[in-house]
Amino acid sequence: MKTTDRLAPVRNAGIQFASMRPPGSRFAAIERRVQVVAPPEAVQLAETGDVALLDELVPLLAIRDRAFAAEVLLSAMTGVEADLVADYTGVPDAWLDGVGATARERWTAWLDQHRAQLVWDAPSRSFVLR
Amino acid sequence: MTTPMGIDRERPRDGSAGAGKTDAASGGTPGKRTLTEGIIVQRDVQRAPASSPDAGSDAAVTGGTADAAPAAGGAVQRAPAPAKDPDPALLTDFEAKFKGVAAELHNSPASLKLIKEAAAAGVKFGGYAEDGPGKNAWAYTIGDTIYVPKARTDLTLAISDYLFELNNAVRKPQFDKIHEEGAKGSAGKLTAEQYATQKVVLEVEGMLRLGEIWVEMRKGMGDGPELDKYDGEFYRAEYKAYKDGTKTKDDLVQSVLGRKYTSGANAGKTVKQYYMDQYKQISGGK
Repeated sequence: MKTTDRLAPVRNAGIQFASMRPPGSRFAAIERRVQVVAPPEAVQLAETGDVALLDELVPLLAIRDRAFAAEVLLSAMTGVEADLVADYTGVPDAWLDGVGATARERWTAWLDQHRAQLVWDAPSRSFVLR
Repeated sequence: MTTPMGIDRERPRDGSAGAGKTDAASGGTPGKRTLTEGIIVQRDVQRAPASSPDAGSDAAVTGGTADAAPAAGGAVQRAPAPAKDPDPALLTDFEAKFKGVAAELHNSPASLKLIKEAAAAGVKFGGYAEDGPGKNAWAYTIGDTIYVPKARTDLTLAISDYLFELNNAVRKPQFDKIHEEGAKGSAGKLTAEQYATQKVVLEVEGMLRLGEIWVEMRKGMGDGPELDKYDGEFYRAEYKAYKDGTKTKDDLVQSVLGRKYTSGANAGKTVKQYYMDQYKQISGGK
């Protein structure tokens, strides 16, 4: 599958996610995780365990009707920024105009720093740092 | 309600046995009451029983008692007692999946207040977590709908999951505001330190709210030592320290801010450092 094809389901309009408190967390809100739950193609994508996908998602953060969906996938796959995602539902204009404005720069910097340490952890369905 | 005459003090704390009693029935002296006392008794009569979501709130004064002065132009008529508020679907749907939880939650006026608040905000109960869109055995929220795992066969733990998700759902708008303000950086109203502190203040307020609920629920469940195993889930220690005055809310906030992440990308950072870094990142260093 071409890169562009597999990113097709990453659109704000269809993305749905669950937010949850990880087992053992002592916090109600500030350590929450997110998990993609729809559409099915995006769910599959988020569970590929392909580290290259993270870099492919970053440019979508600059496209308004795809940026939030890309953020949801990146957060679900890494556990990073979940608290910035979990509170937004529906059409996330507030996210796009607020914390989303600098998302591309944040993720570029984070991946540059951590890419080499990322390993897929099947039980948590996300990357962890080695 | 505290009154100079102290009539409310005669009502049992749970409000149940006292509802519907007159002063005479509860040991008062008929014929000695003033108009003011009569009104207070009427409030008492109309107060919702403890099992209602409105328990503890003041009922409207809508009439007098038989020996109160009649209103101008006619006899005083006792207004019919208002119908008990039904439990919101948010609670009855939870009860439908976890039989017995409603009775436990009715032991806590604070929990009923949270449920009402969440219901008013549009929060719904979606059913078992395993059967919902997330299909896993953790409690989770999707949009405005919360799910609790059926693996939680211990009702108290199911209740803790339920309340955690409600507690989180009702605070979303406040977290959103902090994020939006943080994204403005120095052009906004928050410094990095204030951003970190405000996020943790919301967390601590949630902890204290769950602590209060648990203390009330424990009383209704007999308050025995077998319940101690649930204390951590509901932050009883933090709530008790706060209520006893051994810790202030700010002490608790500082304690959370000082906690270190032990794993993941943030390992070694304190909560405060993490959120101050987040402020700088989301504001783009503005």
